[in-house]
Amino acid sequence: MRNETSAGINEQHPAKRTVDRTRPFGVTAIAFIQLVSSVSAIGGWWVSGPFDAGFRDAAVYLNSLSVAIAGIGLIVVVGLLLMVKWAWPLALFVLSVQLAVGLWAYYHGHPNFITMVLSVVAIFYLNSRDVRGSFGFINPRETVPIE
Amino acid sequence: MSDLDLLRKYEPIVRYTHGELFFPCPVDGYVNACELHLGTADGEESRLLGSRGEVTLESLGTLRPPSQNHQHFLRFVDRPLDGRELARWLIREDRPVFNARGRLARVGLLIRTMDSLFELASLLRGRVPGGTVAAAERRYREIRRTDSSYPYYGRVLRRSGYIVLHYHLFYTMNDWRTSFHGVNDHEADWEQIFIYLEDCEDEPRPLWVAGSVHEFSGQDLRRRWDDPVLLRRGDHPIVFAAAGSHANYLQPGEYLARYEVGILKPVSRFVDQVRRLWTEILRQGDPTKIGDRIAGLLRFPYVDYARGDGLSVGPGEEIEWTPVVLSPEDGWAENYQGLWGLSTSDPFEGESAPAGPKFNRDGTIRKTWSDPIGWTGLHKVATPGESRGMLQTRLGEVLEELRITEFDIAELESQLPQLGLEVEALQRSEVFHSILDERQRALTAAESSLDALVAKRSELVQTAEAIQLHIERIDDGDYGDPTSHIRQFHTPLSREEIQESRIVETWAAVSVGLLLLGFALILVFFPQIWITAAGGMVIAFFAIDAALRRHLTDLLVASSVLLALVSLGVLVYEFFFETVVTVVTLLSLLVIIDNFREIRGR
Repeated sequence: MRNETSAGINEQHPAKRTVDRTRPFGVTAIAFIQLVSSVSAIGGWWVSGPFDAGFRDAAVYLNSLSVAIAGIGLIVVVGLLLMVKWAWPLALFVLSVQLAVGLWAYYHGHPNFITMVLSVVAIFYLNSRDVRGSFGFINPRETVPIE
Repeated sequence: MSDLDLLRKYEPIVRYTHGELFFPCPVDGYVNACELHLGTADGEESRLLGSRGEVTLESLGTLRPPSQNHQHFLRFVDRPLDGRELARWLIREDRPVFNARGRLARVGLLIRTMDSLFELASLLRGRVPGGTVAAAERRYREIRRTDSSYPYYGRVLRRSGYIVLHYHLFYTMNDWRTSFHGVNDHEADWEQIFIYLEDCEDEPRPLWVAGSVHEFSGQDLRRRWDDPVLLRRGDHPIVFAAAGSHANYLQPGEYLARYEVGILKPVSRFVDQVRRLWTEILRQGDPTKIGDRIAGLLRFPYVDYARGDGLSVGPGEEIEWTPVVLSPEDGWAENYQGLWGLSTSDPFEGESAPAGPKFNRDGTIRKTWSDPIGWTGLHKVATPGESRGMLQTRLGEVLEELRITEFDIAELESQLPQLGLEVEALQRSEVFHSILDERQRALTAAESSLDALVAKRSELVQTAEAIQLHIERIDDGDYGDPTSHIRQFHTPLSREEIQESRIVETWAAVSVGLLLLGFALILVFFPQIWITAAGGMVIAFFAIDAALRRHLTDLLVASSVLLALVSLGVLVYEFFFETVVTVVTLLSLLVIIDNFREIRGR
């Protein structure tokens, strides 16, 4: 019969964290820029006759991808304004695709530097610790000081 | 109480993992079963000094340290088992079977790829062939036939108010790599357990327990006696020896250990600087995750299985200890600086046998031997018996300093109004400008001194209150959180981490191989578009890996940051002149704003 003094379980119970859902100004700015970008992309696509060009080359596929991403961008705008958790990874996804498309276009001699600059700034901003924290994407272990 | 009585009173209970092959073994039987060699430091040449049956503990103790480029070493296994012998050894009925989930299922694809490269290096190193473990186990059983005792070699030190009970356990082989998918194998293994008692006039009181564990050092190694995590049976702490490596953990479970290759250390330091810049100055990402990931990239994952579901040795257990008290007359421990097993001259040092309980491989004295108090960071920790007196002394000093400070404050408070009036009088006179400047400076200095003294008084008052409160708590037997000294907890993997799904485990086992195979197939069948195809395949592999391991968000963040960094590079390349102008302009503006603030603040 063993008579040990403890069950030997060392589960850490970090205090329940409350996420500050106050929307930072930068998030509002990103939502606004995304709104303008999405609306102009969808609007331009619609005005130019969406199905006239057919699906002949990569540029057309890329254009269609951009419109699809613009559509998701509108969902991101709503999510960012409401500060819901899923909006953060979705925003990063949209910005990443925009950057990938931007790099592809740059490689083929059609750069869009303004979109690239805005996407780079937005990704670094969204990945900053405070903004991650606002969306609840910081590991609770961060409370332990890092040496 | 004699040293032996102390060692016996608190001797640990060591629980092993089912599947363990090597248990604490008497050193005399081991030494007698070894050959003694003198070899060159590069391992190229060696000379037999003593055959099996000739070498004794006494002869080891009388050996003089050889010249600088040579080293004595014992050799336990002369010939690894060949294929047929090994097969027979593997299928024998009494061999304990060990089952475990693969370690690779617990880490990501990138780390697994790095790990595979390291494994290849290990295979190429081949320092200790696989059949060696089987041969060593056979020899070990032969020793057991003549001596079935389970000894520990203990010593007792009395220093800095502590009594240190230092238990050494000797194993004939560390078979972590061969038997338990670990880092290394080597002949001979010395492990240690420490129990720190308060050196009281009456009955000594147990305070701390520590064991030798990979990766950890200093105060993280020790647990307080009243820590609920520490299992005890009466005065006997329970220690869980890891399978093969024999590291001593204080909680049962499976531990993810990370092994850093020596040659990667400079890279590791550089990457750590980048990590600091990224997380602390640029405040990017989740610092804990980034730290873990970088640690994972440069340090390979291994699992130390300290389940405690096997044999248990100690008081009241299936097998009891045979205590041996070490004394300065034991030359084999005190003088023999050579290795206790085969010297492989392994550049990674993991596959060479260790030196004895007192020495490192290079002949220097182990810190655990010379300074067991400092080894666990106990020099700064007063024993409870000393604490009260020390706190009372310090409180007296603080109160005296407070009294002097208050006197100085009172004096300055009386001087300042006079000085102020004097300055005021000089200001209203048009004659004494030089005196006014000097008095003005004196007034400013006196004011600053008063501010500093008032701040000091607050600090002293708060310190005195804290010390007083601490004394009261100690009087009540409250020594605070038993884990407050621990900076990095070594806790076993959670049940969820261990019970990864079968699909994840299968994927972990085949993914790196499939990736390499995919590269080969792409080069054969799609040579024109190999970059695009290989890139697509890598992305697909990472996505599958992240999805299976439920780390899709991490992959998304890493991908987006990578794309952002590449784009930033493109932007800097395209707009280098504009970037330089912008940065210089921003810096100029910052300087102007800063200076302007200073002027306004004056």
